[in-house]
Amino acid sequence: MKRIILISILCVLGIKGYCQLLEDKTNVYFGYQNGFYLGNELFNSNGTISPSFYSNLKSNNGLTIKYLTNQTPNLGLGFKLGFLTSTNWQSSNYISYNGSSSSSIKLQPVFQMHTKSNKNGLYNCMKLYGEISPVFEFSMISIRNNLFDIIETEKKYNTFSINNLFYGLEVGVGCEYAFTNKIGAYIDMSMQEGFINAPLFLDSNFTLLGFNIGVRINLSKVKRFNY
Amino acid sequence: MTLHMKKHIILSFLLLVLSSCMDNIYPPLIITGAVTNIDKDGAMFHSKITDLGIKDIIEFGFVWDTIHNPTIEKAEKYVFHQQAKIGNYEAKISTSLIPLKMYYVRTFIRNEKVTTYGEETSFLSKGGKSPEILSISPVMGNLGGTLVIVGKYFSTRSSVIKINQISATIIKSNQDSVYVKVPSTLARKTSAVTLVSLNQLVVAKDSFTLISPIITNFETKRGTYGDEVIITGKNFLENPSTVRVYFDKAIANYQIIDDKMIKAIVPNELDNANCSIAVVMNNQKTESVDRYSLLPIEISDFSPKTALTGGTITISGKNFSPVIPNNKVYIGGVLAKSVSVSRNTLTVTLSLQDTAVYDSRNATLKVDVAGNIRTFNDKLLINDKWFRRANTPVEFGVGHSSCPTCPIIYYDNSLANCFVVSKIAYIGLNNKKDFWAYDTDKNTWRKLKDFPGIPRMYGTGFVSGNKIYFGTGLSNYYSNLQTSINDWWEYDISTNSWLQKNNFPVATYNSIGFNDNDGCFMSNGYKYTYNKSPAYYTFFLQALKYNPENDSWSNQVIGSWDDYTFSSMNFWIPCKSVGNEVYVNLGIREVYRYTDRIYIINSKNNTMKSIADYPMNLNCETISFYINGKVFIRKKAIDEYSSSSAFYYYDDINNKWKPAQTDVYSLLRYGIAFEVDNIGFVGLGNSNQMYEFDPNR
Repeated sequence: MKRIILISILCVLGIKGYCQLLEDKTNVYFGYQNGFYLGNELFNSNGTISPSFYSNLKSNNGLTIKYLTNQTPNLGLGFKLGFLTSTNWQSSNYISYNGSSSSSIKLQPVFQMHTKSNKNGLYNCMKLYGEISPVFEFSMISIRNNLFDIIETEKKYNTFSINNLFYGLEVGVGCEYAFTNKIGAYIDMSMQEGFINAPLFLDSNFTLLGFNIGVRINLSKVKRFNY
Repeated sequence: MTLHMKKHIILSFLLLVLSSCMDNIYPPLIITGAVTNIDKDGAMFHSKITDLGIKDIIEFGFVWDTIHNPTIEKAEKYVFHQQAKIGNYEAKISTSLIPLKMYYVRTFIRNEKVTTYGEETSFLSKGGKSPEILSISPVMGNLGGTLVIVGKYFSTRSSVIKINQISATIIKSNQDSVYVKVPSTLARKTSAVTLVSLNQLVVAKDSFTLISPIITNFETKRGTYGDEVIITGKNFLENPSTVRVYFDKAIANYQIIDDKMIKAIVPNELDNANCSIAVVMNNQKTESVDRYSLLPIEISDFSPKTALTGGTITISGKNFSPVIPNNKVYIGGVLAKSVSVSRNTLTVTLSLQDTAVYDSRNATLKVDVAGNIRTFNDKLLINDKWFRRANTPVEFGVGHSSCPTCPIIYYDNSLANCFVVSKIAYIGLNNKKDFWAYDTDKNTWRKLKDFPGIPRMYGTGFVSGNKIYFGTGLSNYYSNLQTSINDWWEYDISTNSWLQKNNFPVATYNSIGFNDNDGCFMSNGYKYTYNKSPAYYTFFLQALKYNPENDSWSNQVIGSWDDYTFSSMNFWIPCKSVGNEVYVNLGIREVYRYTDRIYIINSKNNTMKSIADYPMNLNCETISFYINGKVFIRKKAIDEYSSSSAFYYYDDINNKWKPAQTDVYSLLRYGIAFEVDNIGFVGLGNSNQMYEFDPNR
């Protein structure tokens, strides 16, 4: 997967363009996200070792919407709204979170550094960028209770559902390509470090390596006045 | 409002909305960590509390067992002593870990409503440590109190605490302390405290001591039932629920005034006139040094002065015990039954003679109240016609059985021979060598010189002067080798010696020996002649008369009679010899009529006189005595006590047999009877009892 993405990026960079496009002012992006959580099968929380919740979630898919306004030719500011669903908890030695899932909504202010738009040439059509964004994530976790044996006569705890708000930081790199003044596409790779505090697992942080692909729609161009 | 400002407001609102959707999980949550650092001393257990729930945490820790899903109730348990907070916890566990065993571990956390176990993890043990007791607290305490054993590596599941080998109920326990209830059955003052776990026994270096009451004094020291006594000392309030106050063995009502004073009431049940006072607390008994004295009993009179057994005697006096049985009245050595008591009178009932053996008809009255004994100078006359005499000595009780190997089942005084000389009856020789003298005057038994001949049954004899003659009978009676014998012996009363004489002319048994004024006779049958017309039989009673002077026997017919049939003449029974007369039974008068003919034979002039038939059939075990000029005869001694088993006496004026009152309570079957000075005696048989019968009372 990584290899395919890398080759794709190189191919795009090698395209010679004659686009004659105007410089973008405001863009909106719609994309699909896929990724995986980095980390071991077990999580060590200050000596207490237990199966990790996030590292063993094997299926992670989502959508992203990003709104970006270029403040300068190299700097864009905006925000991103992401939806991610993580399922298929698997561990070779444990069943602790079998059947559990996590759905999250992420709201991220985005700071983007990107290449300057040229009047012509490759960088007239293509833009390389790097992003950094703090993450405010609202997570809805559903955990099938294999983990706790709760002795209470009044209530049964077959499944736990918790909603959690946590924070993180995401960095990413990518490129976008304008097919017309209005329409383009983008592809990028991001790494999110999340910091979480949930009572149902030991994980206090996770690392999500994400891959995004999508379309770009330009809303406005930089106005130029020739006197 | 700028565009940036709007953005910030929207973003803040969105976060606020999302935050309000946060859920709470109400049970406390704890996660089990993997077991690490496994070695021969134990293993490191890990956990993390991730949620405390909404109620206060009571305890949290680990449970482990060799089976899946260990629980607080059944598995070993380790409890953290610190307050529960969200975070990581670990503990080195060494308790009850057996090498090479797989253990399953869960963390737990609980509040008053919920217990949450974390996921189970497992490990292969390499061993653990033995329990250690560091201290016990308190070292002095009370029954039912709590004793804390402090130490290390205690098993919460298998620890047994014993105080002086008595298992104590565990109130609660954890890995380093066990709370037990001091068992209420603990009696020893100072006891070792031991912990037993998995066959390991650990003894605490300190001992546990029960707090004892202390008595320093009491007042007053002399009084009577119901009086108040103040006991002073200390520790009375240490464990008041276990306090008991005793006067001797009688428990007293009491009131604990304070830790140093008890007010007690002299109990009615007190049965010791000079006793100590004891306070028991924590099963520890402390007795007073001084003794408490009851006021002595005073007796003034009793009435009536003559009574029958079963009758009632009233004793007047004072200071009787309010508890009726505690007033013991001994009449002729026999404890009478106290039936009522008042302040100044005591009423008792004379025991019946089925169990009671009074030492004399003129009985001494002795009153015993709590050990204070008083005896009346006057005697009580027990005036029953039948009066029980002294039992035979225990040697008589060496019973025989129906076979040599059968167990002893009853007294073997059956069919004893009895010879009366002066006021002494000489008894025995029934298949034994034993020979006893019963002194009717002194009411005593005395063993005589053993019979030197072969033991036999159905031997016979008679008395001549100061000598007893005895012989014949069946030897080897309890075997298949029964043999009639004819040896003849003389017992000299004055020298207590036996001498063998010339044999009886024939070997025989169950013969009839009697002596009258005409001499000594042994008869073993009769002969008869038959007259055809009219048809009748003439029977001649044969006897051998013994001459003690020259130790010789001579034949003599001592009587004859005619009879219609031969078949009714079964046997003859000499019932009693009186002077020259012998009362004999000649069997059934007529077949099926069931009365027996009685004749009086006069051995001097060889005459026979028929008298009234005896009311029932007699047989060879008939007993009799002769008192006040009357012959009393009883069939087979006493089979049972009933009116139909009474003695009958012969009323010679009216020529009738009349029943006599017969109050004999024991089975005297195959017993003996004799008379001394117009008093009849009946006894032995299948018992060890002897009765006198005095019809003049």
